[in-house]
Formats: sequence, C-alpha cells, structure tokens
Amino acid sequence: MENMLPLAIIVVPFIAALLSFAAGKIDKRMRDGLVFAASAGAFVGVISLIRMVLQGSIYTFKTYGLLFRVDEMSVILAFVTSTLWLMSIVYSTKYMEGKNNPDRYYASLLLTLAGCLGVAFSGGVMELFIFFEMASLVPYVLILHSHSSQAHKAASKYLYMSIVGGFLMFYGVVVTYWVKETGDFSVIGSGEALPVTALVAFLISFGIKGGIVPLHSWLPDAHSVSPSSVSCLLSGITVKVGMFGFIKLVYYISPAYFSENSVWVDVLLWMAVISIMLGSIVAIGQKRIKRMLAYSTISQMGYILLGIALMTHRGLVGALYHFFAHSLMKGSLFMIAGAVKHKKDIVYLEDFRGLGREMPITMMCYTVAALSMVGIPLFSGFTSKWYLGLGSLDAGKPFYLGVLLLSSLLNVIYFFPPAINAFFPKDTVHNKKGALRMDELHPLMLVPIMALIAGVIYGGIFDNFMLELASKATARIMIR
Amino acid sequence: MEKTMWLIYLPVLLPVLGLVLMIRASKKYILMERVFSITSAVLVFIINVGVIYWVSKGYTVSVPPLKVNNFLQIHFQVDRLGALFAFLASLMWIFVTVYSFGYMRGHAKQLRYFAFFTVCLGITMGIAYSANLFTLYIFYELLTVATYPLVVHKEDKKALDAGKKYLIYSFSGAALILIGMILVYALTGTLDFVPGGGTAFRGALPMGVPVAAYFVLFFVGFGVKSALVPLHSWLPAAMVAPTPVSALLHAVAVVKAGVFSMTRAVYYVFGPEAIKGFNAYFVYIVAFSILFGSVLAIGQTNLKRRLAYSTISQLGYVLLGVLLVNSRGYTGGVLHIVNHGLIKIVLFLCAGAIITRTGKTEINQLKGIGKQMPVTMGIFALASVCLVGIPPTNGFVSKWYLSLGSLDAGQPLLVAVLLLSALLTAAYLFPIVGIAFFTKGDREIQGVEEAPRSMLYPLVALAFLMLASGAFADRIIDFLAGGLEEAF
Repeated sequence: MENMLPLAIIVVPFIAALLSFAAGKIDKRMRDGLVFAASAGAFVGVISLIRMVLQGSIYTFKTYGLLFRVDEMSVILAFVTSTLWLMSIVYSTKYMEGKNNPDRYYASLLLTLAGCLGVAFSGGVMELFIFFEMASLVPYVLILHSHSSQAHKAASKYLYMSIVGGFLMFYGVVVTYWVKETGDFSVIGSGEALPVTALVAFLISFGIKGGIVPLHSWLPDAHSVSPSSVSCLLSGITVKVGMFGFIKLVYYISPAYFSENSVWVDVLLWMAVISIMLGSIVAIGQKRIKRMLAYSTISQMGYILLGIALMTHRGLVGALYHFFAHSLMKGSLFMIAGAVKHKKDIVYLEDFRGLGREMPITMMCYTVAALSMVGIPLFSGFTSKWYLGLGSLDAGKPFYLGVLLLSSLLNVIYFFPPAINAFFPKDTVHNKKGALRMDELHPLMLVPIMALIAGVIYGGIFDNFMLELASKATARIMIR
Repeated sequence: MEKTMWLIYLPVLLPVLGLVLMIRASKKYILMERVFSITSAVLVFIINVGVIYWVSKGYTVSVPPLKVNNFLQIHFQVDRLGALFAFLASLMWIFVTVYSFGYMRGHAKQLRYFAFFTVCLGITMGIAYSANLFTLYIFYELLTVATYPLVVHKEDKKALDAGKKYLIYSFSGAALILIGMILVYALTGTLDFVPGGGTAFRGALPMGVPVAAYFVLFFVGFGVKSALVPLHSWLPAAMVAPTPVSALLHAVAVVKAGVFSMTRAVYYVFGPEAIKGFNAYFVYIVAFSILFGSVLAIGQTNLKRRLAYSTISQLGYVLLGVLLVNSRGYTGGVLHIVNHGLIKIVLFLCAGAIITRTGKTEINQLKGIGKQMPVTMGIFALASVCLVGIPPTNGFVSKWYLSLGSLDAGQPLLVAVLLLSALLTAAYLFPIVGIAFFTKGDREIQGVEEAPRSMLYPLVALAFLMLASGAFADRIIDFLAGGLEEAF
C-alpha cells in the first residue's frame, strides 16, 4: 500500500495525459476537468506523502523492474513540482483559451509533470535517466507551441542540447552499471570510484538541464518564446531537475570526487559563481520581461549549485530551500509576465509604466516577488540566502558571501525599476489621458499568482515544513 | 529591571492602522487624512512619555520576542538610548505634522503624502525600539521604502532621479548590513543587542580576520544613511522633497536612524572594548566628513541644499562622539542627536515658510526678507546661533562634551576640528541672517507677509524646545548617565 502512493503520483498524470488527448476530441470541458483532476490528485498525493516522510517513513521499493525511493529530498522536488503544475493548469484555463492545439498542450504538460515527478522518486541512475529524458524531451512540444519561427528555432536548439545531454547521461549510466553492476543510489556511492569520463558526462548533462553557464545558451530562448504558463514551469521546475541531478551526483553517484579541497568542488563553485554573475549582468541589459526572467533563472540556479558545492550543512539547506523559494517566485513572475501580455499586450519592461494603477494586485504581487528575489527579509528568498551565506562562512569561504551580496545588488538593479515605474507615473502606454481605471485579471489567472505569492510570504515569515524538510534532507544526505 | 509593556507595540502599529482607516475615511470626508495623522502622532507621543517615565526609573521596557523562524525574531525592547530617540522623534512629529497642514495646502496627492508621512513615524519607532539587529534591519529597510514616495512627491524628472539615487544608495548600504548580520550571526550565534557588546569580538576572530574588517561593513552600511562623506550625495539630491519631509526625515528621522543604528552597532554589537583597538582611523574619516560638509555648505547658493550639507557636517559630530568610545564623547554624541535634531528642524521649517510665502529658494533672493517675516527670520537667526554653538545654547553643550571626550581620548587635534567647523558653520549661516535683515529688499519681497499660523506656531514651539534643550541639558545628561555604566 505504501508503494502505491508514489507510484500513483507518477502514473496518474501519465495516464491522464493520454486520456486527455482523447477527451479533448470529445468535449473541451471534460478534458479541462480531467487535466485539473490529475494534477490536483498528484498535488494531494504529494502532500500526504510529505506527512508520512515527516513522520519518518523513508523507503525504497521496486516495481516493474524500476527502483523508486521516497525520502525528504524527493518530496521537496515533488512538492514544488506538483504545486506549480497545479497552479499553471488553473492559470492555463484562461490563458490558453482560444489558442491553437489545446489537446496537445495539455497532454504534453501532464507528460512533463509525470517526468519531473519520476525524477523526484527515482531510486537509481537508470530510473533517473528514464524520467530525465521524459522531462527533457516532452517540453520540446511545449516550447514550439506558438509555431512562430523564433519558437521553432529556440525549440530546435533546446532539443539538440537536450539530446546531447541525454547521450552523455546515457554514457554515464552505462559506465556506472559497468563499474558497479547496479544503479541503486544507496550503494553506488561506496567502493571504487567511477572513471573521470563518467563524472564529466554527468556534469555536462546536468549542467545543460540546469542552465548552468557555459551550458545555458538554450535557456533564455526557450524560456522566453514558450507560452508563459509553460515558461513558469520550465524556469520554476525543469531546470531544478538538473540541480536535483547535481545533488545526486555530488552526494550519491560519485562522492569520491567531491571530498574537501578537491578540484571538482572548485569546478562546481566556479560554475556557480560565473552563472550567478553572468546571469545577473546579462539580465540587466534585457528589454523584454521574459528574457530578463530567464537570465535571472540562470543566476538563481547558480545559487543552488553554490549551496550544493559548498559541501556544508547550512549551505545545502539553503540550496534545498531555494528549490522551494525560487520556484514560487519565478513561477509567479512568469505568470505575471504572461498576464500582462495577455491583458495589455505588453512585453517590454519600459512599458510597465502606470500599470500599477490598472492592475494593482498583479503589480503588488510582482513587487513582492521582486523583493524576495533580491533577498529582503520576511520573504522566502531571504531565508535561502541567509543559509547560503552561513554555509559559505562555515566552509571558510567568505568570498562566496561577497558574491551573494553583489548579486543581490544586481537583482535590485533589474527587478526594482519596473515595480517603481508601475506605481508612480500617471499614464500608461495605452492610456495617455490618465484617469486610469482598475482593470484586473480574470480570477482564474489572478488566484494562482496570489497563491504562489502567499507561499513566498509564508515561507519567509514562518518556520515551515519546507525548512524542516530541507534540514532533514540535508542531515540524511550529509550523513553518508 | 525588565518591565513588560504590551503598549509599545502600539506606536509601531498605530500609524499603519491609521493609514488603513485614513484611506477608507478620506474617500467620504474631507481632511480625514489630517485628523488621523495628527491623532496618531499625538497618541504615539503620549505612549512615549509613559515609556520614558519607566525607563528613567531604571526599567527596561520590553515585550516578549515574536519568533519569526528558528534563527530570526522580531523583538522590541526600549532602553535609555531607544527611549530618548523615540521621544525626540515622536515629539517633533507632532509639530511637523501640524506644519505640513499649512505647507501642503494646495499641493497634489495630499492623501498619499500624509499616509506615508504617518507610516514613517511607526517605522522610526520600530527602529528606536528594536532589541536585535534583525528587527533593526527590517525597519531600516522599511524606512527607505516608505520615504521613497515622499522624496518623489513632485513626480517630475528631478524628483524621480533623486529618488532613484536615494534607493540605490540606501539599499546598497543595507546590503552591507545584511552581510554584516550574517557574519555576526555566524560568529556569535545571536543577533541580540547586548550592552557592552558581544564577548566574541574581544578575542581573535576565526581565520585571523581583524574585528575592524567586520566593523567596516557596519560603518559603511550605516554610514550611508548617516550621510557620511563620501557616501553623502543622496542627501542633497533628496532635498527636492517637500520641505517638511526634508526637515523631519532628512534632518531627523532617516539620518538620525543612521547614526542611532551606528551607536547600536558600536556599543551593543561590537562593544567599546573591541572598538577601542581601531577607532582612531574611523574617527579621522568622521572628522574629514565634518569639515568637508561645512566647506561644501559654504559653496551652496540654494538654501535647502546649504542646510543639507550642514546636516552632513553635523551628523559627523554625532558619529565622532559615538566612535570616541568614552563616556563624555558618548554623552556629547547622543546629546547632539537631540540638539541637532531640534536646531535643524527649526532651520528647515524657516526655509519652508519662506518657500511658501515667496517661492524663493536661492539665498541671494532673500534680501530684506527679515523685515517682512520678522518672527521666522528671527527664529532662523536664533537657530543659527545655536548651531554654531555659542554659549549658553544647546549646541554649545554638546560641543563641550565632544571636546572633553576628544581630550579624554588623547586626540587634541579633534578639538581643533570642532572649533574650525564651528567657524565654518558661522560662515555659512550668518551671511543668510545678514542678507535677510541688513540689506534692502526689492519690490517683490516687500509685499510678503509672515508665514501662515499653522506653520508659524509649530515653528515657535520648536524654537522654545530648542532653547529649553539648552537650558535643561543637565536633565538629558543625567538621563543618559544612567545607561552609561551598562554600555561601557
């Protein structure tokens, strides 16, 4: 019975994906209901799983030849995934209304969900690889959804890089089986170390998925051309699947390479620092909001990689907590970007002027998310930065604290001006005369944004279960 | 002795609650924003009178901490330093709120103005009451956010540019504080203010980092709001704000929050013992700031900008006293928070009265205005005398203690700096008085009347307070003396 729940969480969206495709041909409302029910079911399943995990029920099980593992780390990824997916699907009902190929859209959305949840619960490298591929290749369909020439270009780039990443990971998995004769995470870490080539293959493959510089070049294009309801998932979750892979790599697959003062730790740290800095600096120069958010994602993934590579307890807590904080912040920001495009046809940041008077709730949400991105206390982003900062001091590397500081300042430069610009001018691009009236979003789009923002505030103020999960997960990972 | 008093949540929350009521009510009734802002200012002041009464009896007024999460908590606790700052700020708030009624008449966006003006009061109280670095930091950041709409009130290009500068400077400074906070927490495991400072800073720090390196973060971080040269340039730019804002925020609340926080960092985080090892370097930076501010003030032709540079110089006095880390320097510094606050607010309110009546902002346009606005300019002359520090005014008392403190610290050169700066202060203030009274005004000036009553009465009242703070300086010194032994 215990095994049924995680399995159901993965399988239900998978089956619903196939059914919804058929249902869409019959009735639009039936399909919407089915899609919502599947994602809500996954969400409820994950919540009950979290309760069990917090009570100490950690286990692995094998079905149909696949090994699954349920622990704190997996429910962290599963929770943010199912939450964001549920919100995005609610948001999509209005956002995607009247757009092309809705059946294909919802089916691929659910398949990607199944892939990401599969990654979270995978118990060995083989399972990780299978679901990883699913979570990498299906979004191709979502990225080219609009069928514009840019979308095709971005999607092809994404596909090629994902395929290269997939091949490299396949190589790594094969070598792992060849050396260890098993892929089980709980045993492959000990004993003989993997060959360096396998390590590098894993590193590049996760780096591509996670959008880490210099493997990031697909990310800004893919995240900005896809529909916003998809961008929020790509930027909020699928890149984190890559970071999840990094944790598995550093602490489970080949811990031998990541002892203190090892050169590979420095490699990871430098990749993190360059991602943080380059992502932020390039984001400053962006004129379109979605491209800015995409570059910001690169920088934020750098934070998570930094936390992983610091190899300290509090650093890893910060990284795991940032899974939660970043997916809520970035998810809501992309939804806001989509909402502004949907309602006002605005894509450029400078056109945000005066928008706060027409869409006050949406722009307040933007402001909160921006404050959290910068790392102002009482918002979730601060909590992760706090732990990352303490982690870098624990590691005896105050340099990385300086990096965090500098990146916060850069975040101020690109996140605040639109927020300020939205509230002070008296006119907007569309309405030069003034006398602005409230013109808010449809509740089905507004509520998901507000729910995510509520999470950002809740996670910043209260001692919450995510923090508890993050520290328990860290304790479990570090003990190895 | 500790005294739990739940009432001290009220000064922090009341202005915010008032804001909500204000916005609801002002849609129905006119001038409701004025009623609410003055009511909350008066109520906050009354509570502060109660607080200062208990504190002067030797109690520390506090509420149980509000745990935010496992490492951070919001905690209010009022000691002598905090009580004095809160009392001073809330007292002045009443007068400046009344003054604003007159000044803002006919201006646009009054509701927003009074709303944020009142919210700033609550935030300033939060800074004064905070019992740990985290609480202080939160309110410090909030103060920046809440004063921004006041700075850009005019919403023209100049105001928005000044506002942007203000935000960038303040947030950069606060970011350093955040880093400092993480470092302090990593080292000591707590962020609470401890009189005499954390013992961890007295020994050697990990990895051979000098304590001074930690302190630099706080010095620069809080130095931004304290308008320390060379971090000062946001302050003159922010003078585009309406004059009551310049008076209250950029002479009292915001900049004093900077020096107040610096005092907290020196005496309650690092502790005088730790600071003594390296304070000489920082003292010289501050001395430079004092002289540089005064010299630049002489060069200004705009009245409000000249007063702004004067603030930069005078805040140096406070920092000087604080960083000397001896009891007489501390007394002089904290006393100067009170004295400079009163004097500078009076000077700014005079400038605001002139702007309201004549629209003149340049000093050479003020010829003969003393004959037309005798009360305003008479008070301006009086305040100038106080700021220069001629006995028996309040400015003299703080300078006296600062000089004694410098000598105690074995730095006679600093006494010369103080004297030179007094001379420079005379050089940038007295000519204004001279122009106002002893030159013949042109026709435009001759038709001008005295300031309206809602502006004149607060001005006169504050002038009396300014004189009283000189006459009863010993009371304030006694009050502070009670807290001296625990801080040292």
